[in-house]
Amino acid sequence: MSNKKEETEIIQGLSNPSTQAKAFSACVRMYQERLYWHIRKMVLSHEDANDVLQNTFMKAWNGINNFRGDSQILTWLYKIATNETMTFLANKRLRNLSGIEEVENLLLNQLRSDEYFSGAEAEMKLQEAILTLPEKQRLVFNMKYFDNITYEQMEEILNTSVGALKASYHHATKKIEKFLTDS
Amino acid sequence: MKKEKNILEQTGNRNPFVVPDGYFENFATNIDNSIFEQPKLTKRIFMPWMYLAAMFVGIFLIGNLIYYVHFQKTNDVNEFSDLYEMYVTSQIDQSVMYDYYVSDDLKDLE
Repeated sequence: MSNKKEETEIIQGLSNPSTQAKAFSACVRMYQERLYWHIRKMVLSHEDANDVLQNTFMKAWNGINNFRGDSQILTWLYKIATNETMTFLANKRLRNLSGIEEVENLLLNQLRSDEYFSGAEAEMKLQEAILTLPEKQRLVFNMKYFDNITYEQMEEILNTSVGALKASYHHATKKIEKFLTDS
Repeated sequence: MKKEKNILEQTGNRNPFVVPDGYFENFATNIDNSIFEQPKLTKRIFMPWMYLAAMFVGIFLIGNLIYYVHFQKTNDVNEFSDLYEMYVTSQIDQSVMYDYYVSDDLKDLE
């Protein structure tokens, strides 16, 4: 079955209370991987990504009646996942206020000892460079560089104009290239 | 500039992260269990019996408030008369009492 047809069926299923749970289950299976990687690239650790992904789907389920079907399900889920990720990082930052280390260093150290990171030395260096970016810029860079999401889709998900997104990605690329050249 | 561009291109955009074996299958099953076992939060919030319970709690609180205000008022009046008596008693000593009784006796004699 094509993705488009499957998505239409899911949307129809979600609008009917008697088929809602089944349709939502199909929706989880269809989009869990994409959302997981979106979250994982921001929080870096597998355990944290798992927690945030669970929260994302539970929030989506509890607010299923807010989904009006005029936008894509994936866009709606991406929005929830992004909000959950940002909230998670903000809470982590808040909990770490009295700590000596910055959250970015904390994330990097976590990543260095993460058994679920299979990258080579250069990929670790790239992650280190990405961590030097402000959170929003990091989000834009990851979505464009790794997931190849179009600026138009990003505009809908992040509520930011295409122009601003392009500028953000450009600055992020420059900073990362400089970091990699200098180190 | 050319050199900088090469650095990012050389690194590539391969996803360097991995997940435990069977993670996604288990994840979907866990979510299924959560949504099929638990009724939706919105449904739980708007149960009719909760409106009824809230109404009774409201009546109880208002009743309590009325009772408290009324009781406090009665208490204030009682407290005031007690205080007045104490004040009057404190102003009377033996000589005043003696004068009072003697003056009464004198009146009788007259």
